[in-house]
Amino acid sequence: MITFGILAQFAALAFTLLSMGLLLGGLGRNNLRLVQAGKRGLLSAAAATTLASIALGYLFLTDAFQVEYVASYSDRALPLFYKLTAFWAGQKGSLLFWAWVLSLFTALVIFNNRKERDDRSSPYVYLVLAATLGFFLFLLCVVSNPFDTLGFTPRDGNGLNPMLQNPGMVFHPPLLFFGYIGFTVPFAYAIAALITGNTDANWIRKTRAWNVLSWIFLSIGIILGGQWAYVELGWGGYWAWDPVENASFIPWLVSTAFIHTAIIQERRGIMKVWNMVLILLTFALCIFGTYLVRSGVLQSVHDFGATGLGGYFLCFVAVVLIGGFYLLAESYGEFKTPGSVESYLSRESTFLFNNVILLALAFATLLGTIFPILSEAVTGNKITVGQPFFNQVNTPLFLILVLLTGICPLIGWRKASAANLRRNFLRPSLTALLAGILMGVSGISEPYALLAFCLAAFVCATIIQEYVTAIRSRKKLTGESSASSALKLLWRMRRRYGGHIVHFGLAIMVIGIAASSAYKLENQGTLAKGESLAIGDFTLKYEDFRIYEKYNRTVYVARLGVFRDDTRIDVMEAERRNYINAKQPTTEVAIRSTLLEDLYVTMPGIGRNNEITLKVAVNPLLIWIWIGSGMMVLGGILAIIPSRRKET
Amino acid sequence: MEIATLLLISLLLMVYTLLPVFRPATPLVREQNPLERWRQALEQEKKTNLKAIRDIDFELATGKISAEDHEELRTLYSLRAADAIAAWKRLREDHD
Repeated sequence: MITFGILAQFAALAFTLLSMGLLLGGLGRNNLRLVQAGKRGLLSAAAATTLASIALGYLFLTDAFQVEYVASYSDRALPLFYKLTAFWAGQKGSLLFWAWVLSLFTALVIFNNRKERDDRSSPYVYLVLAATLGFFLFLLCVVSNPFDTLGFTPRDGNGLNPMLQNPGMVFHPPLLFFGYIGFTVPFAYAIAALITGNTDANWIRKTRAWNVLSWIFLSIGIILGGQWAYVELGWGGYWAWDPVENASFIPWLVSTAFIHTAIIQERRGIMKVWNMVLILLTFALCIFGTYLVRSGVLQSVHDFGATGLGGYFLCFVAVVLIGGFYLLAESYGEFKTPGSVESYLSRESTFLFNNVILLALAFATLLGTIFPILSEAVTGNKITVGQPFFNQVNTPLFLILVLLTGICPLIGWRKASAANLRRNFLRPSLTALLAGILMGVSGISEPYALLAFCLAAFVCATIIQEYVTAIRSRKKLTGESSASSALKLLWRMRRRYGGHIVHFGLAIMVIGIAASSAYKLENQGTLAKGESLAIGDFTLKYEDFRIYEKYNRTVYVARLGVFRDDTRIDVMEAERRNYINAKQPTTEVAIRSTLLEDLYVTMPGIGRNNEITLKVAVNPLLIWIWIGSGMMVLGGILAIIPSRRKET
Repeated sequence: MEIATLLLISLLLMVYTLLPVFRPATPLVREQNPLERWRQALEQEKKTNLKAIRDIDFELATGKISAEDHEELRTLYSLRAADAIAAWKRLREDHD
């Protein structure tokens, strides 16, 4: 199967190169048949990449430890589920996964366009997709082959990093990859539009579902990453501004900006150049993010060490940016639009401000992330900027972004009068004020947290007001009941209300982030059996200790009774695990999650006579981060459900 | 055996890929005449303005713009859409 996998990779590369040749030939000779053959070449490349992926999966399942990659990330005791997901646990498998998914996405694009006659631009779309696929297949065949063998067969493998043996980590990397890879499609359409001079919004309409879907994948990937950090790393938080986290967050910010301004181009036919810039940056940042994770240039909790791939990725990013901006400069005259934003008091202008803030956030995060590289280049020393830098710079920007999220639905497209603004802003502003007063009275004095709560209340109020007003208008027009109007509006204008649900989810997330950051309680102590540790309203009593073996690990469990006001309300079990092949034991967090707070317990140490060291935290309203992010994803999904009717 | 299987699959994929090349050549691009290009541009202009009218109607219904602004913008976009339709008619008549 090893030879089969290697040959399948080479076959995929050969079909990709052949496809590029056929597509170029079709364009040069104005021959549809060559273009059709080029498309088939890409389908064949997808088939060959699938075979290579199946081969690697098979090698994991059969414990083929003579393969260096399998020996590095699996062992005999690893549960079957994790054996399969070890596929993308390392750099080489991740590259094959990238190539595989990209080849399948390319096949999906060809399938979606099967009823359309190939025009002058579609071969360029396939060429860009083929070139990107070719880059990854080249890396797999020449630089980083997952089928490399050790020359001997070890008795067992090194096993999968225990921290990666978590359901969140199973889905987090592939979903991030889906997001990164998905943006290749709009990028390919954008390049084709630049080459052929198609200045209309057709490429944006055609790729809207790809844009939003990729954004959804990226969002879920980031959320799962945060959840994994929260339940697995045991430091009590979910986001640490780690370079690898930032690597996915930066393209998310730029793609969010793009999704907003793409709406303006669709509706108004303006901002064509800006949208080109944003999609070029989004794709380049997706590749750059992969470079940051794979090159080992930055210290991170989950980097892949120095791999020698950095140079290739940097060259590819350079080609994307230089080539893309050269094409944009060449056709700048055609894409520059005479139209403009008619009024500063319009939704278009709030979208523009939102773009400025999103890009400022992306720039600040990028600067903080690559600062060690820049400082090393200038001074010879790697200087890392920590969480305080990101928090200080990004928190005010985020709050402005939340404010804009609230303002946007209150202002109409094109032009809004001062009188209408006064009327539309009144209730949401009063709601925010009331929320502020209530928070102040209940003892919340942290300025950023107070501001965040007020802004979140403002956003929720604007969205509810907008929805209620629309329901009333529809009721007046159609005579339907309120419930029927509400449901029909939601379904028939799902793009608009999907967006509102995303914003509502964001506001809910902001509440969770602000509360859990500003009002977190922490305590720690060492307990003998029968002793207790207090935190906030809770008291944890160490009741029992046991040890057992499971799959590939020995588990040490401390049972803790949870008391509130002397009443036993729950029981929690904190764990420490010793995995076979792991050098150090790991902690398994115990979390008691309610709508009001998370009680978070880790057991960093076990002493003589089964004395345990506990680290305990109370994270107020933290669950709302996950609920809000779930709403964002649901809103995004609602917004991309295809519609047969024209939306208003 | 593995090599033979993969070679066979590759061969089949190669035949599948190259099959269209042996069919009679068909031109990729049908030259678009200038009239068609104009038609598409004017059609797009008309659609954009009609969409703009639908937008401001909804904005008025939900109280985001005043009746005066709505009237002014509606007239503007209606005129632009009408201009696009008229321009297309003139072009077609000139061409005929």
